Order: sequence, then C-alpha cells, then structure tokens
Amino acid sequence: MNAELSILYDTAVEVSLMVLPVLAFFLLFQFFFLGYPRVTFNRIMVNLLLATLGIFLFLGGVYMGLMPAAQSIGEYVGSNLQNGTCP
Amino acid sequence: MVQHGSLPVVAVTVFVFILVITMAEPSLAVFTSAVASVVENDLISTYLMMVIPVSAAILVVVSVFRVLLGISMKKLLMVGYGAIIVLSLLVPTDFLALAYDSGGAAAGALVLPVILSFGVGMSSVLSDRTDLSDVFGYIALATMGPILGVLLMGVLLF
Repeated sequence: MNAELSILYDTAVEVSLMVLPVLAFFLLFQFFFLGYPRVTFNRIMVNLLLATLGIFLFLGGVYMGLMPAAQSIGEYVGSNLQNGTCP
Repeated sequence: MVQHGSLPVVAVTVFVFILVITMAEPSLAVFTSAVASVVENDLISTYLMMVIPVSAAILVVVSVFRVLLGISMKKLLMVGYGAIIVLSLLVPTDFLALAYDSGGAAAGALVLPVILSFGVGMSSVLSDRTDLSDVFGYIALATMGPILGVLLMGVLLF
C-alpha cells in the first residue's frame, strides 16, 4: 500500500513537471498572440486540467499495474523458453 | 501569400509548441523510465528525454515548411530515411534498437491528437491546399525525427 502511494506521489510530481511547460506556452500565447475571449480561455484551461488528470491516471495505472504485469508475463515466457517447456 | 518575414516567427512558434507537447507525452515518460530501469548509464535516459522532443519538434517545423513551400512528401521521406539507413550502419548496435523504439514512443496518446489537429487547422486556413498530404504526414516526420536524433546522438556521443 505504502509503495503504491509513493508511486502515485512520484507520478503526480512527474506529470505536473510534464504539463507545466504546456501551461506556460498557452498562457504566453494567450497574452501575446491568440487573445481568446475569456470564456474560451477558461474552457481551454479546464480541459487542460482534465487532460492532466487523464495523464496522471494513465501513468499511475501503467506504472502500478500494466508494467509489472507485462514484465512478469515476459519473465514467465522467458523462463519457460529456457527450460524448454514452453507450450 | 506566405509573407517571408513571418517565417522565423512561424518556425519558433511551432518548435516551442511541439517541444512542450512532446515533453508532456506519457508514452515518452514510460519509455525513458523503462530505459532508466535497464541501462546502467544514467546519462542515456537523460539524453533521450531531451533529444527525442527536440528532434521531433525540429522535424515538425521542417514539415510545416514543406507544406508552405510546396516540397513533395516523397523527397523528404527519401532524404530522411536515406539518412537513417546510412546512420544505422555507423551507430553502435545498442543504439539501433533504442533509436527505432523512440520513434514510436514520440507519437503517443497526447502528441498524436495535438499534431493531427494542428495539421487540420493549418490546412483549413491555407485554403488553396486540399491535398491530403498537406493535412497528414506530420506524424510521419514526428516519428522520423527521434529516429534520426537518437541515431545521431549514438554516432556523435558514444
């Protein structure tokens, strides 16, 4: 449980570091070039937050579930090949 | 129609945009963490984290110029993959697999929709372009870029 919490924490830090440049780019572009109306800009920000949450959930699931599972499948196949017992 | 004074602005904007998007790409995070867990040399995964977004962004800028200047996709692909084949013969074998994998890692769940919509938006404004190769093909170059970049990195640094 504790290990999973620390993976989630690391993932949260990683995702926020990944998304911060995108946020900075949109803010700069909004101020200097695009000049969207306030409503449109707010919608972009909300949807960026949604995408960030999605990346966080995806990466958390991948790191905690899919990657260990795929790795153990690989180990199973590899060890069976080595023993010559692969079906 | 294309004002030449605006080309550097276009190049810088596209470069920074694709750079920040590719750095936020989840597949790339997975790929570099997998590399870091296997390879002892920490430098390699750090370099990959920088080289892949930069090379993808450069090649998307090239792709935008290709559409603006009307250079054919065929020429660009032949030159790019020609260079890739030549570099493949020179690079240390460890980097061969890493390089071709990083091409796939750069076009993931976040980069793909963003670059596709970018292409659709650009071609909808350039109204005289209705050719499909002006709308698509950005992903092709965005995956070619990291292959070239990582191969170059392997040849020059290791």
